[in-house]
Amino acid sequence: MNKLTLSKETKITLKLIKRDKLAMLSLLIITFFIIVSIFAPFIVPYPSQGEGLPVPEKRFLPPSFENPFGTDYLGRDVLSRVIFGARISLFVGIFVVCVAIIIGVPLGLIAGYFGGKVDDVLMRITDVFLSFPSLLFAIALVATLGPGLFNAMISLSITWWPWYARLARAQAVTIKEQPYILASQVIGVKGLTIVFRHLLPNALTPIIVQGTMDMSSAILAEAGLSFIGLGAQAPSPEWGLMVSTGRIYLLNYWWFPVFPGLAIFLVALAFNLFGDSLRDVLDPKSRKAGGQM
Amino acid sequence: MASFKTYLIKRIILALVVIYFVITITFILSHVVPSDPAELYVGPKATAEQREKAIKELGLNQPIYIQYLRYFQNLVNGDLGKSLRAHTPVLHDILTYLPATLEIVVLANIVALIVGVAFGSYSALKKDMLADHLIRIVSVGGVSIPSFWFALITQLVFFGILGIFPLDSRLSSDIQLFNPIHTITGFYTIDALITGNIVALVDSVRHIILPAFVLATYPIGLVTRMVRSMMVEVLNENYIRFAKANGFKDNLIYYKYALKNALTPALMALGLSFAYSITGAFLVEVIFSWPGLGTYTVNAILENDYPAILGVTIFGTIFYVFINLFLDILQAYLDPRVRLQ
Amino acid sequence: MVEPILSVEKLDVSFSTFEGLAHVLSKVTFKINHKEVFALVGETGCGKTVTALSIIKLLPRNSYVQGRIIFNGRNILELKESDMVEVRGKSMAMILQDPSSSLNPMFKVGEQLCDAITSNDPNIKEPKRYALELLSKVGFKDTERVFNSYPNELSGGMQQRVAISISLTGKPTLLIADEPTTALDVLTQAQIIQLLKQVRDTYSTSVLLITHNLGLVATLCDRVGIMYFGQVVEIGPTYDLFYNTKHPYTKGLLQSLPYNKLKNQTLPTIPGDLPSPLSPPSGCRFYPRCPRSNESCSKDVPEILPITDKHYVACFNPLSGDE
Repeated sequence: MNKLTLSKETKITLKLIKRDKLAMLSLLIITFFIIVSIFAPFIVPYPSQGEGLPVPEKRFLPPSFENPFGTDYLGRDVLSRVIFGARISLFVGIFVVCVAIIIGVPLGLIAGYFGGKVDDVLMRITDVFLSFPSLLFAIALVATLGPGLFNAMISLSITWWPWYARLARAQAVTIKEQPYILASQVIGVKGLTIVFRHLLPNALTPIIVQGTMDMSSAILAEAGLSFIGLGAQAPSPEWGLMVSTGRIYLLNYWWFPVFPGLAIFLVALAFNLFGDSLRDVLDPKSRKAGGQM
Repeated sequence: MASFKTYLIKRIILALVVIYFVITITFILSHVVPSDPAELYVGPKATAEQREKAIKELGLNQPIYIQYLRYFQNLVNGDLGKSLRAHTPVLHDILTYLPATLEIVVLANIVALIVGVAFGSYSALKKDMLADHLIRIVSVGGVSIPSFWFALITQLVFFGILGIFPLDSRLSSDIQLFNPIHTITGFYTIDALITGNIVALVDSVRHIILPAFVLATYPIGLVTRMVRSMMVEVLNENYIRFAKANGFKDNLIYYKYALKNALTPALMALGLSFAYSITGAFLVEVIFSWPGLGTYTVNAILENDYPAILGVTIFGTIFYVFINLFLDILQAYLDPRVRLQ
Repeated sequence: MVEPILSVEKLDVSFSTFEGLAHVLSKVTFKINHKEVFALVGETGCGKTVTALSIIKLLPRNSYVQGRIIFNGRNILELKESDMVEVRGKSMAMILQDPSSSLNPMFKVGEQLCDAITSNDPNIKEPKRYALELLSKVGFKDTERVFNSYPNELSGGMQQRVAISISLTGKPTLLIADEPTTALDVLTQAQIIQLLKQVRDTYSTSVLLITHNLGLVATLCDRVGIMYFGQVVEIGPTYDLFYNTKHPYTKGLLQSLPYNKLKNQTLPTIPGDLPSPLSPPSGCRFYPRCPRSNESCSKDVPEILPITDKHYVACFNPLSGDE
């Protein structure tokens, strides 16, 4: 019975996603960037330049057949560097979101399920965290830990987990009243087992939606940190750093700062559009609006 | 009215608790986490003598709780420490750079509120039609575009290609020389207006358009999306159906009845967008050489001016907490269900 | 005979849903005369509210409508939205089931009432005076105080009276009342019924009352239409319907009223469940649950035909008088 309704749900979800052309397009872009970043060393025209090898005699060449995105101030192929940069940005996105989820979700589920003092303390902590402007806090944190890609990622994760804790808690509070959870309690399943075996799988949907959208926020935030010098350091082909180095050449050699930024925009847009569609499709409320009054 | 008062008190207490935590966290960041806090305050190139002095000045040789109390006491007295570069009090620096930042932040958020509410409600009225889809792409685009890159693009297009707006800074240098603005509020546009300095007014408006527009893109997307989803919900409410069924004019239904209910999320979104604007302004200011807090902070970062970075963090957070406090109270006040219970 | 105010003819409504087309109304036919209170009775989900929303043309966008709805000589279904705005509130008005959600919580009662007045009759010079007059007509003594209240400062019954006063701003010839008392307690229900009667008498308004409460029907209505699963199965004067029941479904409905039975008797119910609107049974929609069904019931849709000059039934095997 449960299995049957679930597969029907999944079917409708898939059907709706397929119908949404924008969602399919964004999924295509995401997949493209993932494949490209996995095989970067094999597909870029100039792998060594992608990693940072200067070619002094080829500085500031405009886009051409040989260098589709032109070359930068050290003569490196911008396309190769942008493709190598995809590896960094996607990794940062996945890392930050995963760490935030790994910290936030269990805490939220436990707080929501057990309630009481655990819940009170945890929710006050998240309240405080959520009242900060998180990027500002991340800046202070990186400044303390010292600039660098890894410290930037850690700082973003630390400022983001409370969002997931709150989301997971709200889920746990609703789900724990469900009959199948009550049934497990009655037959004596231990609390933590219930949390991870029963609550977790059923609370995942909104977390996945949030995670998809946060991929984009994480990539943007990290690019921003790199842009002001707190994230990746030269000669890393990190996109935000490339825009930062290239910006003084904007009016003469526009391709140098423009293409890396375009890549950030495309990836962030794709994740946001996909997350947006996912939410529309998975949200029973917006789904109902089509079927009833 | 009793309950609105209780709400008010509760909300103010939460704000104070948050500020208390911010201060504590920054204390931990500056005094506990680093292996050598003194170095953070004097920079890596300092002499041993300077270090000694810093240790004494900061009380780093005293027990941690004394340090904590002193730190707290200093903050309450408005002492955010001294900048490493200029040796000026950080608070003084912040207050000097603040008006320039506030000018674009306030303008950007006003623009975002107007455009976002218009886009969001129109999108909801045309749900699932072409206009709705277009607005959705624009609003998702707004929250996805890296502001520092978008700033460059607008410079390339409006200065480099079209040549209709200045590249950067707050005022042209010749205007600064021959028609200087007499500072009253610190907002150049307003000061120029009230002192009747028309030349400077036109020039400052031309300078503020691009940075404010770039800074507004993210909040526009945010406000649009929140207003749209709330409007869709409100338009499905019984009272809208009831009003329609009983002949209320469409304009009244959409632009008075539905919109007032959708303003709540707009205010919420505005709170979020202010949070964004504070840090968003950092990136945008750097590109437009806008002499505000962002430029100040980024320079501080580049020169490891730790007290300045920390000071901006504390100041920005407190500012943000108060903005949110104000918006929350305004929101509660606008809703008679909360106000009159 | 005088023309009816409203005549609904073979109204079909279906909705496109994710699982397919849902056929909600099938050949719904009835009429309402001048100054008459007509009740549409049926179980939850049988299509009463959809019928009401079709008449006032406020169905959601994913609906398909066929048939004719003649109101004051014009076919509503052919009217443009801009013309329909001139009908709603002026010659046709509607009150809803839940009075607490009918009024906008963000605005004072007086403001909503005045907005309705200026929308429906821009010529009125002093909307506030008219608003106070309407409030006193729906039974408020302290009209000034009510005028300055927010909806959630009023009780459910008061909210419904305010809603009625809003619906009366344009002096409509037809008032649709969709379960107007369901959300209220018994005493308040009586007040609202009294008020509706009064409205009918003072404004010469016809009322379409949608309800599942047969008690309400007995006290208030001139004629009744019984709906089952998107079809009108029986129409007749209230007395005839109660005491000279023709349709097996109506009989089942009347028998399942608790106050007809003694303490220790089991309450009769109608066997079976409502079918799905996605795949309604062919022929008479009631036949799978009907004790009197035969072969023809599953093949053809019974048309609603007169048995006497005022009593109509859609059944191949109607009950005779003494059953």
